[in-house]
Order: sequence, then structure tokens, then C-alpha cells
Amino acid sequence: MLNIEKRQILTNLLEGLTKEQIIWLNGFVTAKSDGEISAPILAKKESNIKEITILYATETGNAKKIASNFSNKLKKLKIKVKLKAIQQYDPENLNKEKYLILITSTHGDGEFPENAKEFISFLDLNGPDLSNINYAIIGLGDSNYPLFCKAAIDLEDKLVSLGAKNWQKIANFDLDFENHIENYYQNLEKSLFEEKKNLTGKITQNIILNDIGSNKEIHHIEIKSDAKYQVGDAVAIKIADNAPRLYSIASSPNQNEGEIHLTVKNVAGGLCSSFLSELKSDDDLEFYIAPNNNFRLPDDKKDIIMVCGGTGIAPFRAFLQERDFSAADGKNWLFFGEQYARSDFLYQAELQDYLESGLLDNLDLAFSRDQEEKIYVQDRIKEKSDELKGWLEKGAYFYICGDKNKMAKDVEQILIEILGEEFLEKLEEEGRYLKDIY
Amino acid sequence: MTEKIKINSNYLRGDLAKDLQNQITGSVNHNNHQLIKFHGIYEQDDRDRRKAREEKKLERDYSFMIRLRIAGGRISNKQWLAASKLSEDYSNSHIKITTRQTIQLHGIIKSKLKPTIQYFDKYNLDSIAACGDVNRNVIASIFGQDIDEINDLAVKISDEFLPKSNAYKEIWLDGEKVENDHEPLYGQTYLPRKFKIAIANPPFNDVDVYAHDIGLVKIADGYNIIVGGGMGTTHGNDQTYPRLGSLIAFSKKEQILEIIKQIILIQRDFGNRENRKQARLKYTIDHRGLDWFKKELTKRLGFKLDNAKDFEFSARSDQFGFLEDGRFGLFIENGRVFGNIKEALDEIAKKEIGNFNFSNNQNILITDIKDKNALIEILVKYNLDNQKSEIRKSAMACVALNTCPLALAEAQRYLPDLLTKIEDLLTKYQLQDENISIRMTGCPNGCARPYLAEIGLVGTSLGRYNLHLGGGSFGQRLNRIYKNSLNEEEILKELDYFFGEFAKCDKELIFGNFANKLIN
Repeated sequence: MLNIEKRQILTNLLEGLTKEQIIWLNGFVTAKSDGEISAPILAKKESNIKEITILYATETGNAKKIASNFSNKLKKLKIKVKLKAIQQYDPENLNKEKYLILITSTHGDGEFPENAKEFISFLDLNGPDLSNINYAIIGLGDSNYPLFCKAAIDLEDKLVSLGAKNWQKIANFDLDFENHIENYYQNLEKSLFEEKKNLTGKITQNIILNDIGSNKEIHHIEIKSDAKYQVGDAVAIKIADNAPRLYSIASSPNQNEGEIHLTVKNVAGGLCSSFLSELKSDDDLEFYIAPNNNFRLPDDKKDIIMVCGGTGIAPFRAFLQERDFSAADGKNWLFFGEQYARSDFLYQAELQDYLESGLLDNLDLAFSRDQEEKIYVQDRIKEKSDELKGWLEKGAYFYICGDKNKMAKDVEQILIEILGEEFLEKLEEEGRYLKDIY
Repeated sequence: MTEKIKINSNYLRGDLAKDLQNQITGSVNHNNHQLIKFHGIYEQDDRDRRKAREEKKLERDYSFMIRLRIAGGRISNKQWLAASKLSEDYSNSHIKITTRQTIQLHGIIKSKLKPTIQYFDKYNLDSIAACGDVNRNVIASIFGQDIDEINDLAVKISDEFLPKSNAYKEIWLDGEKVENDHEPLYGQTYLPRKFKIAIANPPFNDVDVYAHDIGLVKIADGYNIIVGGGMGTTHGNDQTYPRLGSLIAFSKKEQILEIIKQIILIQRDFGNRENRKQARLKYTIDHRGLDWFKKELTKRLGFKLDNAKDFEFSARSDQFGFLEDGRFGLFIENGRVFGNIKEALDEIAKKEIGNFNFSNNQNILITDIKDKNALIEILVKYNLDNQKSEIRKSAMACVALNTCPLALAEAQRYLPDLLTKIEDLLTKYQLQDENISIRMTGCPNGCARPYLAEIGLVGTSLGRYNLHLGGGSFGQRLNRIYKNSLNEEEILKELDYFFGEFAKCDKELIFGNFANKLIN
């Protein structure tokens, strides 16, 4: 909200004040603003992210120009920036990176620039674990060529497959990139401070959704908070020095004003999940909202197909609530998988109501352990392949949420079987194949 | 409503097969909820868990009770082990012996129904018509002479009047589909209401022969015929009442099946199909008169019925321990087989020491005993000594809470505790050896035949019961409501008074008769 200079002045002013003085100042400012400004000013004084690495792979020097520009600006925010041409970067260091901006042009027939090839082959050959990395990719290209920014798209696939997490939505710029790059930077900078803005909410409910006989302990947690969020977003929770854990929000802010719902599986040995599981009513919880622009509802008229297992249902519960609220015309189809119908059918009563009201058009279930031979969501998708194809041909969006290594892979495999690779690629290009996997 | 469901069911099929595949709910749809009863299955939900499930955003904890059809109550040790295994695998590990000589498993979830019935089928056990508007499990006395003969008759009646629809095979056993099915005896609307047949063997009336639509009393070369007995009532509906069966005739063995058939057909044709609370044979007879009934029956038979013969009952309770004929009666409180009793019965079955015969008072007779010492060893090992008071040994309770959807109050989970307090009262007046029949149900439908008990407790709401007194001790006289909706303290206070007065009387007197006089 404030520009950097103003913020710096404010920071200097506040330094060394006593608590009483700050409280007085707070009241003074509030009076000045007729009560429109309240506490969070203090929270915004510095970026939450302390170190960023920027790598560029360039043919013409454009990528380098952008990288240097970003680097200078970020350094002014007191962020330690490591700026390197990609061929000069030792990829063995990747495991130490937390925030990584990659800027790459596309060369020739959708290939990486020559000087990036060593880096890419390191990823391909060594398959390092990149789960510590939050990435932002900028692609540069020329839309006159058929495979526009293919290198950037491929790079994202590789990073995701190695566990890296999306930080900023991939941005692919055409020859007129200079018109857009400042806007991109502003958003990135904004996010540095937004994420920093730690919020405090109060727990109002924490129940275990599973019943007797279940192998799982999945919590439904309701938090009272004024935080602004959209369906698809996640809540990030940071405990001590550990990397923040993200939990997809299970509610729509429109249907649950002032509330955030989470669906959290208590994983044995999971620091964050066991912390959340033990929360009681009236406990405070510190968190921030992690926007996920890659997982949004489409236009109200579009049909959506949602596929999930276990806690993967969280964002879809939010989607359904949102579509219920907005009385969206688009049809809704949910595939849900778990172990036992009796004890693990998360949000069963709500989904039954949605079926009855007509909000949900289809609900297909796979309870793997209710019969001799195990049945999974991908089996249900296969059973319904004709109908599914019909929906997608008419423009439906396809969403997956859940386990990256098992469910998402198997579902994708079945989709390729049903639709063919070309159709799936087309879906992806059109932004109709969306994943929130972990 | 139920009539319409029957008509539209294509002989009990409905869309049950498809419904079983529906994983969105653990229940079955409204129509199938009714139809599934004809397959011996009741849909229930765990009422203790309703609130918790709601909080968990789950639907009610639906499950099913499967009741077997075991006419005469005899079961081989292999069949017992099959039931025992299923109770462990798919049910709540309990086996419930009913008041009508069969067993039922509770808590079977939808996805396990088919595997359960298929497994039973491997052991020649089925649940066809164990519930529903048809002739249900046929019960027979297990004491006295000629018990093999009356057991055979029970089996024969059960088979003869079984629905002939192929639906059971198609739905549960993957049997081949039959087009244009039909039901030669019942037709597509079956009977207006449930229909029960019992066979007594004087002097033993362990079946409560007056409590069923048809009661047969074995006499010499034939049977006395009793019609129109029935227990079920509805609170606040004085058009409903328990009724003792009426003794109408004697029949030679050879004609008995034909007579039963014609009685069933009269009920099929004249039973009330508008109002299920007036649909039992007892109301058909009372609305048109017993004379009309006898005339209609004679007309249909084409021959005159003989006059009923004299007989006398002098026992209704089960016998325990080793009987003169070598069988062994084992007490099972309220028919609930679990824990050490179940382990013991499993071991007896595994070692093939004997077979089992379920009693009509929710106990077990161990029959065909091959090795008496081995049996004793097991009974000692599991501490099963039948050492219970007389009142406890003849007590009965229905299932009630937490699974029976009709229950207004507790029964089998509560009666044992109440009995402990009643035993103390009896001891106080040195009446501890009196065999007084006490029966408790969680609702007025009468599954444990409470209206034929000397002390009947019929649930009205949680923790409250109507106190019935004055029933005949051999099932020959109904009791009457003495006081309404008593809580435990009030029940004990009343019984304290009655026991106190009874203790002052002639020792030859029977409590039921005494109370009957006292409340007049």
C-alpha cells in the first residue's frame, strides 16, 4: 500500500519507540483516518522472504535485463539477492534455495537456450528433490512461432515433477514484454508483503470427520478470521523455523463470512498437522493466506469436474459452496475416493444435500476397502469415460486435488487413455486441466 | 403405501440390486426399506451415534439386521460356525437369539449384505421371509414327546408357505434372472401383514401358542388349531390390542397343511389392506366374528372340522442343565450370545460335540451330544453353570435400543440390571425360588410377548414403562396394564408391594394368578 520510501520513513520513525509510544501513535493515526486504518501497518515493514535467487537463461540479453532490474529493486527491500546466469550456477546448490525466480527465453523450435542445457540435463539426470523451492518462472518468446514459450512451460513441468512449489503463476511474455514486466514485478513485490502479513484467527471448531473403524484422523477445523481469500486459496501455517505448510481452504468466504475452514489429516510425525489437530475452541492460530491463482473456478457458466481423494476434497467443498452461493449455471461433477464409506466419507451429509438440491450433478465414489478388489477414483473415471469426454468436449474444466504421486498420476494416466495425449495437452493449454497436488 | 410398494416391486425385486451398488448412502431407498424385510433384513441405524455422526457431517450410521429362517430352531455345528464367523467379520460380533427360535446378526453395513447372505447360502441357511408380510419363521416346542415330528412339521410348513419369487436368488446369490415371475399362493400383494405360526407340545407351551396368527397344539394323532393370536399394539391407539388366539378345532395330521393354507388365504383375501394397524388376522377375525371365520374356513375346505380336544399346559419356561433325554439346556441372558458364551459355543461346535436347538425363550439346547465329558469340560472352562435365579432364567427382552427403529425405551441392555434389583426384593420376602415370568420390550409391538408375562414392562419413553400384571404363567391369560409410564423407582416400589402381599399368601399360589386377583 505504501511505497517503499514512505515505508522506510515510517520504519525509521518507529524504531526505538516504547510500547506505550507506539500505542499512542496507533491511536493518533486511527483518529487521522477516521478509523479506517488499523493495526497491520506494523506488520508490513519488511519482506517475509529474506533471500531470493534469480537465474536467467538468455539468448538476446532480454532475460538478463529483466533479472538485473528485479535484482536491484529487491535489494532495496533489504532482500539478499543472488543473481546468476544459469550456466554459471551450480545446480548442486538447488537444495539450499527457497525462493527461485527463473527467467528463460525459448530458442529455435521450442527449445531451451543453449546455455541452459547443462542445468536442464542436471535436473533430468539427477532428479534432485526440489520440495524446498518456491518458484516463479518468466518465459520470453515470440508468439509468431508455434511453440510460444515452450521452454518456460517445460521448465515448470520439470520443477513441479521434482516437488517444487508454485510461488508466482508462470508468466509468458511476448515481444512486448517491457509493457508488462513492471506490472509483474509490482505483483511479486506485493506478495512479499502480503505473505508477511501474519493473521491471527480463533478456532471455533475442531472435529474429527472420520468415524469408528477408520484408519484416518482427518480434522475439520473452523477458524474465525476476517482474512480476505478466494476459493482455491490455501492457508499457510509456519511453526518455528520450518517451512510453512499449506492447507487448501475448504470454505467459501461468501457462504461463511468471517470463517475459514480447513480439512487437515493428522499425519503421524507431521509437526504442523499434529499441531492443528490438537487445537481447541478459542485457541489462537497464526497464519497467512497463500493465494493460488492456478486453481480458480471458471466462469459460472462452465461445467467443472473435480477429482480428489481424502483431504483433497477441501478446495472442492469451497468450490461447491461458492457455486451454491452464486447460483452458478455450470454443472458440477465430483469424484471422491477414500477407504471406507461408513467412516471416511468426508462431508457426506453436505454432499447428499448438494445432490438433492441439484447443485451436484454427479457424485461418483470409490471406497477402496469396502469390497474385495480395491476400487479407486481412476476406476470410476474409466467407468464414466464417455460421459466425462462429453463434458470435456463441451468445455468443462477438470480439477485434481490430492496426492501427487499416487492419485494424480493414476488419474492422468486414465485421462490419457480416455482422451488421448493431444486432447489432454489441449485442455492444459486452454487452462482447463488444473491441479492442486501435494 | 406398503401395498403399492409390493405391487410395484416385481415380486420383491424393486431396484434393490441397483440400490446395493449406490455408495452415496449406507441406507436403501424408501421402497427398498420395506421390500428388504421380505428378504429377512431390516434397515436400522445406531441411535446412540446419531448426534456424533451429525457433528461429523456424516449421515446416520445405517446398518442392517439379518434374521435367519430356521424353522424349529435346529442348526448344525457347522452352520453355527458359519454364523459365528460372519458375526465377527461383518457384524458387531454378537449373535442374538430371538423369541421366535432363530438368530439374527446386527450392524451389517450395506456393502457386506451380499457377502453375508452368500456365505450363509453355502451352509444352506437363508433369510427368506424371516420378516415382511408373509408367513415368517415357524416355531415349535422343543420339549416333550414327539419333538422330531413337530420339528418336521415346522420345517414343512415353512417351506410350503415360503414366497416362491426368485428375487432372493437374483439379488443376493447372482442367480439367473427369471422373466414373468409369479407367486402362486400369495399373489403380488402377499399378505396384509406379518403372519406367524407356532406349534406347542403339551404340557409344554414354550412357544406361547396363543400369541400367534396360527397356533397348533400337538395332541395324539393331530393338532388343535388356534387362530388370531397376536401381541402388537400401539400406544394411544385403543383400536389396537393384544389378543389370545381362539381355539377353533382339531385336525388330523394329514389335513393340517391344507387347513393352514386356507387360513392364510382367508387372511390374504379379507385382511385389512388400508390400515396396517388393523391388518393382523386377529383384527380380521374380530371385525367379522369368529363364527364367520369358522364358516368361511369350512366352506373353503369343503369338509367339516372336528371339535378341539382337551389338553393342558403346565410349563412355559425352558429347562436347563442335562435333560433326561441327554440334551443340555444352556441359559443365555436375553439371547445375547457374545464373549465367553460365544467362545464356548464356538468350541463346542468346532469340536463337533453337538448341534444346537434355539429355544423360544432365547436360550440354547445343545443336542446330539457326542461326548458329555468334553462338553462339561468346556462349560466349566467358560464358567457356564446356569446358576441364575428362576426369574432371570425365564425373563425375556427384545433388542430395543440402540438399533431397533421402533424402540421408545431400553430393553435387553437394561433388564439384567433391573433384574438384579428385583432379585433383591424377592430375597427380601424369601421368594427367590419363585419362577415368575418377567418380560420387557422397548415398545408396544410385543416382540418379547410382554402381554403374556406375569410381569410385563412395555416401554413408553426413555426410562419409563407401562407395568402390566396378572398374566397366566403358562401363556393362557393376558396380563393387564396396572400403571402407566413408571420409572425404575416406581416399578420397584410397586413390585415391593405386590411381592410383600404375595409372600403372605398360600405357597401353592402362582404370582400371576395372585396379582390378577389383587388388581381386580
